[in-house]
Amino acid sequence: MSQSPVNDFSGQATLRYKQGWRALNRLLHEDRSFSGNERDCAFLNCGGDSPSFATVSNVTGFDFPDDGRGLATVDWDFDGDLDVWLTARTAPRVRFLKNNAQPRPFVAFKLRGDGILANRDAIGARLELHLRGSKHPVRIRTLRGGEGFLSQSSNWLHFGLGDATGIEKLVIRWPGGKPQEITGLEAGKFYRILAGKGAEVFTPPAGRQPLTPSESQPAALDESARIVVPPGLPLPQLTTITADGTTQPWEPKSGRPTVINIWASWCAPCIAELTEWAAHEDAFTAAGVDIVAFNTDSLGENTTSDPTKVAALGKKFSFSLAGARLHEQGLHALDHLQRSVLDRWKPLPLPATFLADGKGELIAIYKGSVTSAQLLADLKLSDADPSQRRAAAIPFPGRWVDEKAGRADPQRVASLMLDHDEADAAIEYLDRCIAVLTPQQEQPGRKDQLGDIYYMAGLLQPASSKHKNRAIASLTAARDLIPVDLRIRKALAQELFGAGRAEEAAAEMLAAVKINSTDLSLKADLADLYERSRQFAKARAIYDEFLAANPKDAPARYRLAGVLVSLNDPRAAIQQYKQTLSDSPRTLEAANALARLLAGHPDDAIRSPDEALMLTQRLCSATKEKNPDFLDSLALALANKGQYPEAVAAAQKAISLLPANSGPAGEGIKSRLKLYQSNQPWRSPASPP
Amino acid sequence: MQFLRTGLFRTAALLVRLSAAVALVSCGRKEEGGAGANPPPAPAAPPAAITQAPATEVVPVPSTPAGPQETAVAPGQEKKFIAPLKDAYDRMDPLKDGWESEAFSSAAMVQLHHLEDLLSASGPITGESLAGIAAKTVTSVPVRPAKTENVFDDGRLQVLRAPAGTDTAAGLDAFAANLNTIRTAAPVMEPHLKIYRVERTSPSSVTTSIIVDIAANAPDSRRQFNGTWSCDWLTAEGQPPLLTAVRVLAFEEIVQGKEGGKLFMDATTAVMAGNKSFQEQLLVPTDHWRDRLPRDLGLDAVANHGLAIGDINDDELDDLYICQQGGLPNRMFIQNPDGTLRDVTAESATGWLDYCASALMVDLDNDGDRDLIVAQDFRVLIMSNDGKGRFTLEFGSSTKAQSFSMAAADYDNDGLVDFYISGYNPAAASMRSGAMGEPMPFHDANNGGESMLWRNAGNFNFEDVTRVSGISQNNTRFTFAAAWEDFDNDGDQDLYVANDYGRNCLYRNNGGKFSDAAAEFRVEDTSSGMAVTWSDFNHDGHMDLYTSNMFSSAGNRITYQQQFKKDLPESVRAEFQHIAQGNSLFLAVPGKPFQDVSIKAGVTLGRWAWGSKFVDFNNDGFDDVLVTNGFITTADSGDL
Repeated sequence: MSQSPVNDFSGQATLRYKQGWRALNRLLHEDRSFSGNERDCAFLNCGGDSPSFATVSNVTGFDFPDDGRGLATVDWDFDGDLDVWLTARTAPRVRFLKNNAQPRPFVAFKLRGDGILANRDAIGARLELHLRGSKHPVRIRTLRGGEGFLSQSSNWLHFGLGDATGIEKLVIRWPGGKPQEITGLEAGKFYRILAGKGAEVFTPPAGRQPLTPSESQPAALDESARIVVPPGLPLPQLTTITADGTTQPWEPKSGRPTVINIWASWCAPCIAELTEWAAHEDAFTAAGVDIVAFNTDSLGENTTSDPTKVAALGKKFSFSLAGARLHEQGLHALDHLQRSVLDRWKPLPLPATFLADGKGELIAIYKGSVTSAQLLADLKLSDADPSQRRAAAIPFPGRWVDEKAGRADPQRVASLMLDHDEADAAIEYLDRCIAVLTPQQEQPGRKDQLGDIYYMAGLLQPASSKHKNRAIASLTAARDLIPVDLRIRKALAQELFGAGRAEEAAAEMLAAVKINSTDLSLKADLADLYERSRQFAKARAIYDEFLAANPKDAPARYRLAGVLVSLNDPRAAIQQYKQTLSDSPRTLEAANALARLLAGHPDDAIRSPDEALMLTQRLCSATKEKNPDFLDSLALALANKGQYPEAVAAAQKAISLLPANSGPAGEGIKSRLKLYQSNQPWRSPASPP
Repeated sequence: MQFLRTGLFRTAALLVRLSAAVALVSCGRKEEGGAGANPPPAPAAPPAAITQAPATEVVPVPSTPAGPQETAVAPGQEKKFIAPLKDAYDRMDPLKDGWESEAFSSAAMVQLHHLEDLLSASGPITGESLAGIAAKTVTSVPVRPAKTENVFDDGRLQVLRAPAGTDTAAGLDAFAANLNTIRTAAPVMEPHLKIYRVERTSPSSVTTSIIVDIAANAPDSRRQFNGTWSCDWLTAEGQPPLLTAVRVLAFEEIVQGKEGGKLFMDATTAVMAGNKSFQEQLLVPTDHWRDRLPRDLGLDAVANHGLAIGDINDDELDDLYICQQGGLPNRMFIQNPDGTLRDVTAESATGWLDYCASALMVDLDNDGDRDLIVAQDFRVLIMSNDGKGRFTLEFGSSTKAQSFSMAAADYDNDGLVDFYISGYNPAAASMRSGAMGEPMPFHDANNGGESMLWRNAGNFNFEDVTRVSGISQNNTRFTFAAAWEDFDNDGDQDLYVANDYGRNCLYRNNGGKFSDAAAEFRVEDTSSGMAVTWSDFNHDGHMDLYTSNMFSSAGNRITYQQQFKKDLPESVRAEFQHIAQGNSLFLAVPGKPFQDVSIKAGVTLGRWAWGSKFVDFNNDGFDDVLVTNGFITTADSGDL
């Protein structure tokens, strides 16, 4: 009941991403370091009588600067101490650390349950090792299957023996089974123990390779990349700047695959790349591919580019538009496009190439140079289904859980545009997506995708002066594609209501309520909509039903009381206001509305001057006489009691607290002030306001 | 390699010039040479061959029964962030929030960086060189006390400690001499000073607490100084703050013992080098793959991927399974008798390409070999082992949340191992992408995804017993990790759960039914829980508890300010302060609540901690603690 569709869905409000989330999301994608360069920690248990650990990260050599994640232990080399395996976000993503603590006395056990009472792995078994000559004669360990973070350690259980002179016995509490005692154990041995049987010495294999120290050399980051994208990602609108400086939209030729390249005359790899392509122009022609090379020399702050040189190079390559300059908007659009595909958002480098199919959908992106052979090979992915595209996108073989891969999410491109305050570009990109997807809508899954795109467009359009009138059409299209989506119904209801089509809005909300009859907030929204469209009887019915299910919902009851006032049923309204206050004494608006009814209603039988005055005095003292509405009500109640000088003072104070541009509310107080000054009380109009 | 970097340098600089809205290139880079200068060639394109993955198998993935109907969340509503991201964001620019203490802290850190430079320079520090950092009248004590107490020495590690210093002297020369006490024995110094508490004591003075972490290493010896200083500063508008007093509150010196070199030696190459996958995949950073694999395949910046160690081919030698980002196959390695590893991913059929966070090797059917459980994002996969390390998918299910750590135990003592799978973000089905096409983090403290307890019903059938077992209590708090332990020694397995957002849980097992007893045992640990580990570290016969959290010096500074949540009661402020305190150590007290000994024991400063484990790394019978940490390191140096 907290928010009506009108409050909730004003056009601006739908655009309001949570600002912080947006910023954070961007920073995470854009390579910001967060609590990075931290060194792993080792805390040494000093073993005293009270808990005391020393930080020994550096001295032990454990202080790796990796973005460390998992950590598991195992005596890998069977030398009697615990070695460590680590995983990390940064490279090397795996480390093996040999522990050099030995020689120290130890003993290790590997348990095997009977598989009936105790599970075979003996997970959950508790070992009690009883030692001779130690200050701490009993040591306990439990075998765990998974501990720490994302890690499982070896199920060999290892005991350092410290100051002990010998082993007295081992007590095993098998999970689900009886305790077992084993004696005759010696330090320095590895024992395998089968539940109910004795301990058997395990001899580690001979011929172990020496564990020589090695600093792993991680690979350096290389930003040149070939990125095969999932199908379903239309190219954005690109714009060129013609020789006379005007802008001109550019479209690829329908039905023909296109190689879109961006280059600069000072960029040697760009020239080398285009030269190689030019040498194989016949192959491109034979494959039916257009090559479009956009020059970026004049973009940005650098205006020192030499148009003659660009034109000369353009001629040399003879590709379409080779001399044409890309408009800054086009570069941004291509940059958004590549970011939408990747999780790590780096600026688009030069040269960069986009391979698109005959439908104007992206096949692959190349950062850095790409050969003509690679382009022609990748052209074969033009008609590849999502699974084939996915297979082409990955560098190493493996298996997927789902055989079927998904399609691209073009809304991410629009989202990035929006994040860069290019809302109109976002809407226009969604239009392109709609144009591409509409012919495919009978294919599985496309209706939902198309509906979501219409929905996003419908949310963005109200804030755009250029596109605001299209919102209802977009949302209607979205609703028709995904009739069960409540979000769409609510957004459409909002837009319809805003356009003065209250009945249609109510119909949408009614449909929403039918889709999900358990969501009470939808009912509240519908009632609110009826109220705002002055269908008070319908609103009352909804509130009655709502309150039957939620009798303690004070805001709903408050609204019901308002509806009752509008329905000229002041007695019922008073009862509902009082019930609201009884359920939720801090609902100040309810107290205020009640007081105004009791002080200003034209019917003498309804008014209750003392009660009204008491309520308004409480309201004003609770808000430290800082609320102009409550002061207005106080003035009203005072005048009703015939205390006109006090009423004038209260009204004047209310006026002094009003904001400069207070509109009709301010006018109301001022007109009432005039009444009080001529010793007259105020009465609400006989018909509802 | 050098030309390659320069090539990128050029492209980055170009974009600086191009960018208005695209402007997200890091600052400070300047272009070498003017326009028209001949840039070196950009890197070559990848190999021309199109990589073909082998045909993927059809995997039956039964879905869990539908829960209560969930409606999509409308955009534009007030929502909270996922911690730890929330914390990351909070730390982005505390200055903007009007924290005068943070502005001071930044200015003082500049001075402390000068001090670090002096400490790590080759010559001794002179009084003159301190003139820009400290007031002429600065009082100080020897930062390395002359008298220390030997609290630990096992031949490999020696721990010396000293109480707060009292040997105060005044003046810059005395300060220099006192600083030089720490330099004398240390040929190569790596000092790190960090302010974790700030208090303004007068309009012109501030007092700070500083964490001191100084490494002093030589080829054949390692040494480190840990401690806390209390520093007073003189402040004046528009002037850098000047030190007026330096006190040593706590001092600890760790010396490498006489026996051999450092304790831990990286030997990854010796074990792994024979495998192409090591060079081609594991030596390559996550960010490399985020640059070239479509994000739809399951890639993210945080990269929470773990490992499992266990014997899968019945030779008593432990093998290794490593989880990877989406688009990269998980890797299975078998240990050869000589201790090296060989990659058997293909033969073992465990090379899942989807995003996988963690895995467990557990004998689920009691046939003597160890089967495999894989936490695959919003699914769990269970594979049986044929005894030779070849696996077959037996069971798969969607989970109710993004899966992170798992923990296995036979909670109902029926002889079959069951498992708990941590749930973080709610399942994709309830998070249908929002209006702007972004995965909106529409959560608050109590609507994380649900973790699940799966009961092993035999023959690779598993039942979701989350609700009937009682684990559903307090089960939507963004869980990262869990560990089983019979902490009350009553013969059944209890479960401690580390929640990132919200309090932790201690599910006490009572004949197969659980109830959350974290409050009763005072182990709620209001902090961003990432990991949990158990051990009887003090040998009193009761299992103690250690959790990974996030130490935040900024969080420490802010939460102790008077203006921080000043309208809240001190107990609530204390909770906030606890959030930034770092890792926690809870000491078991028989029959009573655990005792929080974190600060006293000196184990809080695990930084932005992820993995934590009790490990007796020096083999003296007392369990020590190892912690992995660091959220996101990039070339950008703007760390907070």
